[in-house]
Amino acid sequence: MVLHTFNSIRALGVSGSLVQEQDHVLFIEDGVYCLLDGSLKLASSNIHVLQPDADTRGLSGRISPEIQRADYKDFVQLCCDADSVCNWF
Amino acid sequence: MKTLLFVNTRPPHGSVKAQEGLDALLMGSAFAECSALYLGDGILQLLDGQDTTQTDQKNFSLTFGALRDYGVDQVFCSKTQLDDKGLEPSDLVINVAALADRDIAALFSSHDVVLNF
Repeated sequence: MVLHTFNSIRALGVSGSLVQEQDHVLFIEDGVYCLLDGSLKLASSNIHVLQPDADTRGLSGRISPEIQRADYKDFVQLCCDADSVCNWF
Repeated sequence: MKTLLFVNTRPPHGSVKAQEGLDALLMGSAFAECSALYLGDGILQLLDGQDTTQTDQKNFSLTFGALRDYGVDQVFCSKTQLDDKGLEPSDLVINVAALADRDIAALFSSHDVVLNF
């Protein structure tokens, strides 16, 4: 399993299609805006958002409850659980 | 007096660019008649409910409420781009006039100077 992190909408546009069904995806920094309009399309359904970054940008109440909320501890755990981590920025 | 149009296109917290645009606008308002235009991801600067306590960043969205006191009465955004993001004017921290593209184009010619941030 690969953990993909996206830190911008641009990064998702470039490499979002590389995500496989079993992978996990974590949206951080400006990447949290990818979740704003609810039109996200990814092969994986294991989607996480870094809660502190979503709160900072005023998005917490605007992101679908189906997206799993991660704090910094969860971020570390996701990295440890993954075979490798791909940071897209 | 010269009229300045500050165009803001950057999201608020990923870089210092958005904050610098707002600082420049506040400074400019001391010397000239200023308007602000928010386009693209710049609209996200105005999003209500930003809480930066966990990331230790400055929540400068609170400053937009002071624009009127600085004499900046004209704040605009793109209606099309607001819609694209699934947002309503009520999602924003201040009252913003959401304009159609042709009205935005008219802003560029009606101001003496256009500054892009």
